[in-house]
Amino acid sequence: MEQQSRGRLAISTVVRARHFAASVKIPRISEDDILQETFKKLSDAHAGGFVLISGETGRSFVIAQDLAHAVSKVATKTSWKNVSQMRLGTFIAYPGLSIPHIPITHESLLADADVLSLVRGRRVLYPVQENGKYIGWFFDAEEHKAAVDTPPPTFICGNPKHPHSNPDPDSGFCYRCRYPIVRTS
Amino acid sequence: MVKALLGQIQGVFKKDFLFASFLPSLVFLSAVVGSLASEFGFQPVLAWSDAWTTTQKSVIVTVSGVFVVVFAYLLNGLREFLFLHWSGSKTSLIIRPFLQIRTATYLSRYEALQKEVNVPLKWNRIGEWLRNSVNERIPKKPAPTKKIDAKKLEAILKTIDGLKESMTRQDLQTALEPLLEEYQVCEEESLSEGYAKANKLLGEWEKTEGATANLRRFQFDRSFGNKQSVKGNKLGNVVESYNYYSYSRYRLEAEVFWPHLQEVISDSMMAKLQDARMLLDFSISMATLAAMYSILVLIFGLWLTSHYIILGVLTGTAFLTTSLFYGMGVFAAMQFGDLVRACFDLYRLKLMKAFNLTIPPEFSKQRKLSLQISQLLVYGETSDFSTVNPP
Repeated sequence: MEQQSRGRLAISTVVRARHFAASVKIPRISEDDILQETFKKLSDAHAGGFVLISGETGRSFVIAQDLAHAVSKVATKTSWKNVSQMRLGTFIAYPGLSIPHIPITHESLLADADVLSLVRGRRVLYPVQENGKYIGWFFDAEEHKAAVDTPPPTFICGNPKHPHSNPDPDSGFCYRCRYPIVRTS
Repeated sequence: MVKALLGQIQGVFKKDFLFASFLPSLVFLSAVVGSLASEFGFQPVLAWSDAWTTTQKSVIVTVSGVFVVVFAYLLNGLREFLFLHWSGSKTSLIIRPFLQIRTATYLSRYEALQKEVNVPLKWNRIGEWLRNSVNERIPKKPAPTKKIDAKKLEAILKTIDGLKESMTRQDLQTALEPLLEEYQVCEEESLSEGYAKANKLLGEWEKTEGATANLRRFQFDRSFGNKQSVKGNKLGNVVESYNYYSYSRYRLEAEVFWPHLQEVISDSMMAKLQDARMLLDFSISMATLAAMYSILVLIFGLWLTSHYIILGVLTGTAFLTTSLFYGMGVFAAMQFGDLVRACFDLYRLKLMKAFNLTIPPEFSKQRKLSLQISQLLVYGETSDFSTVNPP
């Protein structure tokens, strides 16, 4: 499998590989943002994952679906409103949740580097540079890159006839009707 | 004896002494000497100093150096007194009437701010009101199936577009009545566009108002303590605000527990506190010496010279410098206050443990315990400390 993957990558450079995602495709979200803002930003960017920022530094890549499932899990025990207003950094560090995330390496890649020597299928994300500028991210494992192109999670209300999709859990209620949020997509 | 002397010499090189006492003293004494030299003329003064012998020069330089250090030591010893003086906790008879007038001004400012903080929020839970109103209007059975007329919906959306944040809550409720009435006769989903628009708008108003109110509360909390402790100047009120914080949150009186707390806080926090306090002391020292300089210029300047314009400029500059460093002191006190607050937030339980007490898990019981110790230390009122562990 790895050989097959390497075969496909043999003539590719970092930016041309399917493992690469341009910076504009992945929103950078601060750990100080609340969860409502986080999902709103993901919805606005139509992204299925984001780079978690601590201060000015990118820490890791988080898959939005994983985060949404964790949010849903906590919301059923507390309330959607409470979870929605929680700080992202606090929520991610919440004991017992263990939200999967892909750490960012300190080592950055050059845009025209040969991919073959790089791909190992590990849970690692490389920053990619071109002419001294960061232009995107390189996922060591291709399935992680797929998360970027996945639509962001939505929050479904409990309207029995017309369950609406909401971009974020807001105050725990649907934007379009009087029903509360009950689950994620 | 020698050890003590060496300790004193070592103290000269301590960062806080150098920055908060020695540097202001050096600046002040240089300014005084410079002003005197300018009065007598720089050329004659230079000629006079050139006439000194090498021995005279070395003696004068040594004596001047020792004088600066001694002056700095005096200033260092007065740091706490000066801080209390500038914060309005200790006042001299001369400025007391002035401060009393200022206290009245600050008291009215306190009351105005408190009024602003306590004003009921106009858009509080307005989203909830909309939801409940819709809930109330929708008939339970049978649910309406008719779709809203396109023209009616258009008119409702136009009404929502025209809503203003400045309107009263009552006016808003009246303006949304046409939408709510439709829920009695029309299918809920056909009204969702109107609901979403109104919900979004009201949500934004509620959040904006809430954020503004929180900011106002934050500023009020950092500007004043309680009503009884309002002082006649800004620095005093900032100091009172962080002194009051620990009591209002945890029932620990900052002035009483601060020495105890310093024993349990971490070295890194202590270093941050010392740096913040150093900046505060530096500002206070500079403000004091600038004020002293302006008084000296006024008293001796009038006696020594007839250059009133120069005198005016010097006095004005000194007053400006005083006010500048006082402002810097207020800023430094705010920073220091933030750290003091953080110390009480982080180390209050460690402090309780240092008193050999068992900490109850409930916050309300922790507060009660703090209050009991506080009463014991401040008023000598003994309580039954059932939670005390034998040492």
